[in-house]
Amino acid sequence: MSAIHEPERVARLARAILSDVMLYHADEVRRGIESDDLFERLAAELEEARVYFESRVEAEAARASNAWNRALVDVLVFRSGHVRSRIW
Amino acid sequence: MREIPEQDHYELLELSRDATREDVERAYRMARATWAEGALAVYSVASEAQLASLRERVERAYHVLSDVEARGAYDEALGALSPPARAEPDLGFDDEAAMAAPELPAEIEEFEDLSGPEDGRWSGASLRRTRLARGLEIEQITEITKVKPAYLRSIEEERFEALPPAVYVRGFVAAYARCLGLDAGRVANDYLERLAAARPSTPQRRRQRSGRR
Repeated sequence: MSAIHEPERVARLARAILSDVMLYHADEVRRGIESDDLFERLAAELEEARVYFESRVEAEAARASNAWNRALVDVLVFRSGHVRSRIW
Repeated sequence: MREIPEQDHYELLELSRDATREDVERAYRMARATWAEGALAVYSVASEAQLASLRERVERAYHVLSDVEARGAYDEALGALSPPARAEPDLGFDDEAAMAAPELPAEIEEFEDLSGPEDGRWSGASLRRTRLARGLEIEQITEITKVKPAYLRSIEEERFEALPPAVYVRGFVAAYARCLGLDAGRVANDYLERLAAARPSTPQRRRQRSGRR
């Protein structure tokens, strides 16, 4: 299986993986946003997701695009904008 | 497209002949929700006329089976007929149309890696891996297939108890597989085998609940 390197596909993969984290751990994500400890609370799940992402993407493409970190914010944080939190 | 065959009311609602009133109510609610207008994946594999006919038949079946007298008369009439030969009702879909290769969305076509699952058999986990490999979110699958995210997630997690009767699951899985650019028939068959192994048919479940063998 060849590693992904096109920026758009790299970004799409990151969003899809993190969207799954959000879907499969919806309650934990909500609580993490509410109490502003999202990344600590979901550390294990996010690490597993990141490892999977990096296994599918060329290392240089992942680093250059910063797709993972962007998707973390776009998917997990911004999509939780409806949750009451001191973050906002 | 062939015509919708006439099945008995029990087959249509996937009930055994000794279904209780509660079973009938539950099956009716499930069938009504599944065939509700604009709510299901299967609408893409059946015409509006077929769906309208199905909804009408579901209502008729419920009307008869929920009424003691009407059901008694119906059962008597059924008694003169031979028992159903198949375990699952044929809801009249054109299987060839349902399983035909779809026109893939552009973002899926660009993925060259369309290899099958590692062990050669499709499962919920391998469907999820394939979806992620294509960079698709559950919500995007829902937009295309109209299958609710909760059902897609249950399919992926193989939480069979959260899924509707097998005949509907086949439609969901086939729609999902087509959306991923996979062989819908093969994926659905593999998945239904797993479902059948994990979830006995309705009469078997009933016997298990009542402690009979």
